[in-house]
Amino acid sequence: MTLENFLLILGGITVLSPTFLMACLGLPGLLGLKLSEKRISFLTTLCVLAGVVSATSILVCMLVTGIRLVELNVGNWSVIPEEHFHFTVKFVFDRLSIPFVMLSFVLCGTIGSFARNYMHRDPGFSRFFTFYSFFMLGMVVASTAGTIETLFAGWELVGLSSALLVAFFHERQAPVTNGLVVWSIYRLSDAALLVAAVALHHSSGQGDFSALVGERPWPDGTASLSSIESMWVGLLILLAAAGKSAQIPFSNWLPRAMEGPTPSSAVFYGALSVHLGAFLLLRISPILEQSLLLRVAVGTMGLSTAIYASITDRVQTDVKSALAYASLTQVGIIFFEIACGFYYFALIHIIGHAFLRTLQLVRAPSLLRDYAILENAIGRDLAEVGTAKDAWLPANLKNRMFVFALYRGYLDESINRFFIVPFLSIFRLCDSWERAWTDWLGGVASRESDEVIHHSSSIEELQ
Amino acid sequence: MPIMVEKFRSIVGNVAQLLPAQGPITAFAFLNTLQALEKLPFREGLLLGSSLYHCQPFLPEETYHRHFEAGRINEADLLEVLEQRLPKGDDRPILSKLSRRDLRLALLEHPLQLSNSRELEWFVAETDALKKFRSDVNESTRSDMLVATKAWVHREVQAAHLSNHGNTPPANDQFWQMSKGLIPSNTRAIETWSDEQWEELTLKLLWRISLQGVQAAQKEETPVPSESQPVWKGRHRNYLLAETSIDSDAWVHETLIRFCSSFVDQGFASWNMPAREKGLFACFVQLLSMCKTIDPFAQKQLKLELERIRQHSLSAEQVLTYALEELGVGEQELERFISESVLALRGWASIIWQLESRPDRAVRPLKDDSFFEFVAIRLLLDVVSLRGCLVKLGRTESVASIRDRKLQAQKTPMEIAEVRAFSIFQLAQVTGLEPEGLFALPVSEWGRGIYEIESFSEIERRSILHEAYERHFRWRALRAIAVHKERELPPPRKASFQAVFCIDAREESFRRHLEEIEPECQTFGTAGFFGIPIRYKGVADATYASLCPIVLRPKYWVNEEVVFSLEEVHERRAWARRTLGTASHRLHLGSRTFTGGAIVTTLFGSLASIPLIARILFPTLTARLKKSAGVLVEPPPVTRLRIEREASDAGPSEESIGLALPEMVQHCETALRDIGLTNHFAGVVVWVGHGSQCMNNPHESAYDCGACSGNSGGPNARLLAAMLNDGRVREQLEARGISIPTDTYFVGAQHNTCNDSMTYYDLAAMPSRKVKEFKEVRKIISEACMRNAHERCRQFETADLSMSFSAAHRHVEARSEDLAQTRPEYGNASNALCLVGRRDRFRGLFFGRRSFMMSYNPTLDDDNSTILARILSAVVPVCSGINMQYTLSAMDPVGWGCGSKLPHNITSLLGVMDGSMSDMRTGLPLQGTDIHEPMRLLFVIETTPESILSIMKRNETIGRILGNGWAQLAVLNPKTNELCFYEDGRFRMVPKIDERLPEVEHSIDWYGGKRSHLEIALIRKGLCR
Repeated sequence: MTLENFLLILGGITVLSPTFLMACLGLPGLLGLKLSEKRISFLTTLCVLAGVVSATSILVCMLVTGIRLVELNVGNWSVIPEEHFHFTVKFVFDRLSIPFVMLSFVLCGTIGSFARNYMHRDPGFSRFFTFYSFFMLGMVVASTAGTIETLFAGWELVGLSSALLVAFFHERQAPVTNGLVVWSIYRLSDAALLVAAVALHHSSGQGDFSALVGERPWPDGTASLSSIESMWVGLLILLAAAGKSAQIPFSNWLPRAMEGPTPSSAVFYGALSVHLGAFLLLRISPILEQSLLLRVAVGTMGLSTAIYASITDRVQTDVKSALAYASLTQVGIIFFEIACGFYYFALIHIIGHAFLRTLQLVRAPSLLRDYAILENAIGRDLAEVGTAKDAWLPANLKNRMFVFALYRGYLDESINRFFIVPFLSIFRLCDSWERAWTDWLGGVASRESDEVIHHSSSIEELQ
Repeated sequence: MPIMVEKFRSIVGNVAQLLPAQGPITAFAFLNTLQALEKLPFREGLLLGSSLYHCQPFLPEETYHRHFEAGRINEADLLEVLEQRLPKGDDRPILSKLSRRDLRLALLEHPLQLSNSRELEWFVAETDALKKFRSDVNESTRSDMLVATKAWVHREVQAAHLSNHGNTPPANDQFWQMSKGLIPSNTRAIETWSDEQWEELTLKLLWRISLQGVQAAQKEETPVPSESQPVWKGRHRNYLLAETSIDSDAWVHETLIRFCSSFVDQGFASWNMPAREKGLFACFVQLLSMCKTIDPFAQKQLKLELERIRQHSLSAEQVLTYALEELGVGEQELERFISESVLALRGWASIIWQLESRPDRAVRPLKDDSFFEFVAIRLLLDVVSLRGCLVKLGRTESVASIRDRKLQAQKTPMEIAEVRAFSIFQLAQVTGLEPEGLFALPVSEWGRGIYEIESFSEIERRSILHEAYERHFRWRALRAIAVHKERELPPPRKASFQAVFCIDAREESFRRHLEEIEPECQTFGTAGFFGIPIRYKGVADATYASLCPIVLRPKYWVNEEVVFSLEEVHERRAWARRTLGTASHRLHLGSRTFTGGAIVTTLFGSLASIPLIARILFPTLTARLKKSAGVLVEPPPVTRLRIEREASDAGPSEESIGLALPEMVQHCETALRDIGLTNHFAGVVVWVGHGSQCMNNPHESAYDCGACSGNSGGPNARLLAAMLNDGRVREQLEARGISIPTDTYFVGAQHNTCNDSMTYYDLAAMPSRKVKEFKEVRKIISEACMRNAHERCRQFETADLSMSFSAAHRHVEARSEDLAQTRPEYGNASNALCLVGRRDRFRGLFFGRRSFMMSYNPTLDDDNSTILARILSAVVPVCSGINMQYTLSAMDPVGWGCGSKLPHNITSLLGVMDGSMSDMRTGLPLQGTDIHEPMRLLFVIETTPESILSIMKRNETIGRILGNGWAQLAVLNPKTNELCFYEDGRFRMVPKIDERLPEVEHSIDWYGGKRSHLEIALIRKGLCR
């Protein structure tokens, strides 16, 4: 067996192991079978181990042999030559995707092991692990994607499972509402990514990243697009990344996402999915280099998010929101680093940040205990030790900033008032026009379905 | 006006009492949530509480039916409770032949109710309800019904046949109209019908007859059970919600939670709320008027109101009056209105009240009047939010007029009829009401039938089912005790050693195992603070902790200090701890800031993977490593308590720490007399406090000692042992009639109930002649730790039932170190009994960790039962408080309890919220109560009925709890050896029972291999030899 083949097999295992897990956990549910907690944990451990081992082996081989790129081409899944349409599935293993895949596997594996005990006896145990397998597959596919359409598939899986995990406790209202908020913002960024994919295909004839950023392995590629094209495609991708990574103005979905069980909040929003936007920007970094304007946009967005989040973080009184804003601060900084062209630095930052936040979120329920330990060690009340030194600020400004932070920069209210409400009223207006028009055409009220009353026939006939 | 204000104040004061009495979660308070309603009889108070709180007063009906099927409730239980509660009057048969008792019994035993016609449609469409009898109909009823129907139909066919041939009597038109389409026109075919066809016909006839009957009765004016309609109209929010699906509370709560969490924050956020010192109301007005009004509805209305308040500098009282006027609340409903409005966000309201009323329990308490101001703000926000909703809806009416609309159920008569008919249809099947009899029923009888069914409401049914559930356990327990009491008491003797434990239900198994291993030993139970209310500061602690029940206030200050020779080491290590602590605190805060975060995450972030993975994948190993590393910075191993006070008054200053000698003697005497340990002292007496240590658990303190306000009781045990070893104390005790032999040595210890380990104190001071004896005792206690762990493991589904003792011990150790473990232990879950009396009366019985146990010797008490009265004044409120907390939380885990732990989010360092923003959750988490059987505690007290009645009269709290039935009471008369149960103000004797209890050699023979709750059995090994 040649080395290439060996690497391809390893790559295949990396991608297939989470797929296998998803099938194992998802299909029995469809067939009405129930897996025991033990079996679910066993399958999860098995697949994560397979993934970690194969991803690590690829890394070792690449380090030893000096190969910098392994491509696993699954081929075109659908080709319509007349329409110039094709859907190519391709996975690449390079210096960007390998660390990211390993990060995903390690964190997912740790959290999977955590959740086995944490979720014990919860009625949603198997539901949790099903979403978890979707999420892991999504992360692996998105990070190893070699074409933008493959990336989109992974991106969607991550979005779907995240939103469902936010709404995990669906018997209460708040998780469902917040799940919907997350879902709406994800959809917006999905739409942006989709348009970007179409635009890419339009300008370069295919969605393959190698065609887009050149054959040389990451991060040395050079974009084949013109500066203007780069800017438009890049702005769309930036919109997609901003939604996924909760940059301004979408920032407030992140604290809202802390509705699910603690382990899912920890790994999914604190550590992995929030970095997916940054990853996307890294993946198309050669495009960024084409357009200064684009880089300025990325940098401004990142920096303002970081400043905004670090101010807001200071007034958060609950541990999960505080960690959410702390995450945002760092993701904002990572965006800024990417805009400055420090790609390796950003990658290291992402990995370090993901581990630290996961640890902090997993320990979040121990906060009181940790505080007591620290307090005993330090020997006095932590409240006195930890207060920010803000005496130099004028009182009025301080109060204003406090209220600004307390209301989370009024982002929710603003989006609602300036975006959602006008959006809805435009559609309602169109609807009323359409209704008037169809009524006029039909001569009668054309929407009978609005007035259907539930009519029950005789009970006897129902059997 | 001032009169009104006074009234408001007193009402708000009453409302505060209704709130769940839970302060900061770091010291979990086990108090009855419905404490304020204990002045009412139990059932009444519970129902009122559940309607105020909008929580379930009982388990769901299906759960009771499951218990009925499993034999946890049997028919005898149901019948007894039912007979007691059967209303008198009009005992004509109902629906042709049922007595009221039979009707109610059928409704209790069979789940017949469907809530609406949609459910009914689904049910009929998806099951063969109209083709086959219900599966719970017994065979003889079914065949009787089929025979009767067959006979009836044949008769009618015959009659029709005759009348067709011109003979009399004429055909029964009504019958044929009713059965149209069911009987073939060729009536001969029915001769060859199978049983199934007859079954279908019977059921269809039954259905049509029921529907017709109900419809006919509905046309007539039938008496329908009148819903009690008090002066209370309900909150405006409910009207608006029902009508428009807009919840005006959503915005109110968001605003309040945001503000309050910051206002009460105990130091989590790094920016403190400005203007906090001005008080809640002033701070709210000042800050919120700075808020931008992007939302044009409620937010804008609020801004207008706040401007008005600032202009006229209105007070909280004026705002409250204004809000109530705007809402149009009548004087009659004032208290109820304010109660329900405040209880809608009860967690935050209660934390504000707690911080105001118990400033001793928090770092940053609140000023007086904060709660009143909170209520004023809440009602103002209600007005503002309702106004905002009205603006949004484009309505011009006033806020008060929202309640003028009617809340109407939108059900058509047909839908109601179908649901009613279906319950009669099913009732007929289970009770064997034949179609013919029903068919002949006059309209008025149908009306009465419906009335009888519906007046037996769901709440009433559940209440009876619940009482039967409680009764079943009660009689099982009382019978076991009644059988056991016939055993002769062993004579007083000198035990091999003595151990005194907390009253806690978790120590039941521990004591039992100890007695099994060493039948010559003697164990006692007492409230785990051992009667000494102290504030304690350990050598490595930053602050004092209160170690006494929440209802008491600590009297003494006690410090732990390092022995003189180790002081240098201590100082060095304290410095190391301080340095490490400051560094990790900086790291913790820094990781959340802009630059600090960037540096920490980039440079050290990846290192976080090591503790992350180690902690989660290898919890036990990590804990062991951490422990070995911790030795380097731990305080030195030899410490002592600072016990004796120099100054006259107790206080936190250097010379006023500790107790004065007379106080020591007093407390020692009380502690010994309470448990009846005044002679026959063994060579070693161990006082065992308890605590719990586990990871990742905001509710950790709920597992600690309830008698120490959610702290560990070890220091109290240590203090008591040290005092009892003091020669001067012994001398004075001798003068008071308690002579402790010089050979007796006292040891203080702490039992960690989570990992079942035992820590002993002050061993360095032990005289060498005692060492050998103590080593023996320690060996026995270690063995008991293992066995106790083993018995506990049967509660945990993840623990294998076939484990060995030592494997079980390792399992519980791992549990306590596991970051992901949501059930490190089960605390007092499943508590159901409280035994107060001599251990020998109950020794040898297996109570399965369900009983609190208090030692009390009635033969040493005086005629006034002074000792018993003293004991009970702590035991009754503490134990029934724990029990009610568990019971309510298990009854409705989301309503009374704090729901599932999984999404909990610690906020303001005071409590937990669900997810990103919710009410502060009070009560116990689902993961702590899922094995609890919700029942009122049953006290079994060894005393005479007269004494307990007199104590109930003398002590108001005990009288309220036992007299109003918030706990059940039985007494075991030490003079006559009779067991009596107290009910409705009188004692009923438990008859002498001629049966034997199941007997086994060891506890493990009884519980081994089983997970569920077990019957009470006799453990032969546990009996005194």
